[in-house]
Amino acid sequence: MEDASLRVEAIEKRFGSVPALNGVTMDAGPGITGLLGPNGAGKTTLLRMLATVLAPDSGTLQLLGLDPTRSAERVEIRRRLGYMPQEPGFYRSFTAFEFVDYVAILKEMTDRDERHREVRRVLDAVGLGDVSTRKVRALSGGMRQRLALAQALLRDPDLLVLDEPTAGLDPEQRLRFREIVSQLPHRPVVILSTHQTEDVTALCERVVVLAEGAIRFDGTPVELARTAEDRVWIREDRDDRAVLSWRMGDGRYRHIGDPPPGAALSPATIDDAYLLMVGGTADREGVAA
Amino acid sequence: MSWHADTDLFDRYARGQVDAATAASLESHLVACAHCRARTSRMVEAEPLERIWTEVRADVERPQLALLERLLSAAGLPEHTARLVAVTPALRAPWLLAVAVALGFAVLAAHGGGGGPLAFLILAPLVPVGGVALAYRNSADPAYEIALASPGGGFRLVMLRAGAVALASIAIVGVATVLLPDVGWTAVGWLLPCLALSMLTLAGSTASASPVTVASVLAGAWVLGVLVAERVAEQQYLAFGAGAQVLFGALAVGAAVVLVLRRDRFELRTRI
Repeated sequence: MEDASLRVEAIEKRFGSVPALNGVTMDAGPGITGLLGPNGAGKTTLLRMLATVLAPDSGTLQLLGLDPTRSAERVEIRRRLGYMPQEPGFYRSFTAFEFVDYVAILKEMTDRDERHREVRRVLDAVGLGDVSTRKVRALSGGMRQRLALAQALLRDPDLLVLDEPTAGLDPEQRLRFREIVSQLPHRPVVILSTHQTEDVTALCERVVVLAEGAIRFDGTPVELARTAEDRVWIREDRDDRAVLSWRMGDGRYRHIGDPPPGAALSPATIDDAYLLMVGGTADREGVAA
Repeated sequence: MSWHADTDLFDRYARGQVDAATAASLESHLVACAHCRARTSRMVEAEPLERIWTEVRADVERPQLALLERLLSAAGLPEHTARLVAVTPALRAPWLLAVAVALGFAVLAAHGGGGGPLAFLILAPLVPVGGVALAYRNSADPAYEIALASPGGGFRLVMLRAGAVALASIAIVGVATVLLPDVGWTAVGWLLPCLALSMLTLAGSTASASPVTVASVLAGAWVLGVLVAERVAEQQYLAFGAGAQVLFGALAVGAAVVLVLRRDRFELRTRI
């Protein structure tokens, strides 16, 4: 049987003297896994490795049961991979159709009629069927983001790597994006990075929190929220003993950390858990993107 | 107006049994009348309509081929390969024009100035080198990362584009060579240095350096080397003579071997 999973073991990566990943080990199977972390946590570096474009300094990767450092196996992975980079570049003078058609050629679709049918299918899937003849430069930011997703969906990939796919989308577009990804018919392995906790709640079966190049948490979104249980309290004024605190809409303050005795505890959300986990690192501008 | 077409007429229209004048009259009514449009749509079979719509859409969406792409296809290149080559930035008009103008001046200088064809011979091998470097550097391909993660990206794409640029440049330089004053075989002495420098640019780029940097260093070394040889050696055009040709031929082969051995560097990057 074909191996439909990925496995990453003890991955290290440095850019010059700056460490980007410090011994990351994780695995993932079919379904959606969210990679959550602040800017500079190493998410993009890790996803580039999963997309077979960047080599680690040390450690091993198995993608769909294949080794991306071996030339023949890497080509096989790429045949079954869809990748949406964080800043997907476009030939801006191409139409939306021409751009996806160009990527389809790179994905070895040499039969023109069959290729054009596939291009139409993915453009329709992301809701760009009606603007397919519009030049990329005339598309809005949200449309370009969907165009980048469309090319990643070509040939129904078994492994879908999406780097911050919801960045720059408005709430309605985010909703549409989540629908597209969660309704992919044959349940590929999907790894997506985000720093939006709502994406994780709404979309991911599994969440991995990455901060400063290391994995801080690996489990379900519910389990993530549970890590902050009994560590969230609310007060009328700010409590300096908290790891983090912020003013809420009603004027009161929400605190996370070790609550003082008698504090008014509040149910923990994923947001609380995530901030508690990366608190202090979230503000620091990170190392590698 | 409250006139509507009758059901019998619709039925005959849907089956294609009305004459052209009646059909035209009915169609102009349909454009204006939502009520009748809704009634007709129920009578027309969905399948052929869907087929027609798909064909219309395919016609509208079909990519407009650029001139270069049409030329490449006419020259026998498969449609998909022609597309990959045609988007190479160095094959665009501004670069080709700049090359032609520079060579034009060098040819004029060869006829008028005191240096003979030396300026031309120095410049000629650098044209393809510049093109190859521009074709390959990452920033030249806006969709670089997407291409790299595709089975058809990486080494194959780099070679395809570099080859296309080298061929186009060599063709232009070749035409200019015919216009040179007669200096015998020396006039084509640029060809092997050109191959060697282009291959060295690509081979050098596997060492994590930008191809533009590698090309610039090589170009500098080439110009300096030729000028020094002209000054020091007793023989004119030493860098384009038989001995030098053997040397550049060997360099080209050596660089090609390095390139093939290190082709993985074009596929899996150590940094992006």
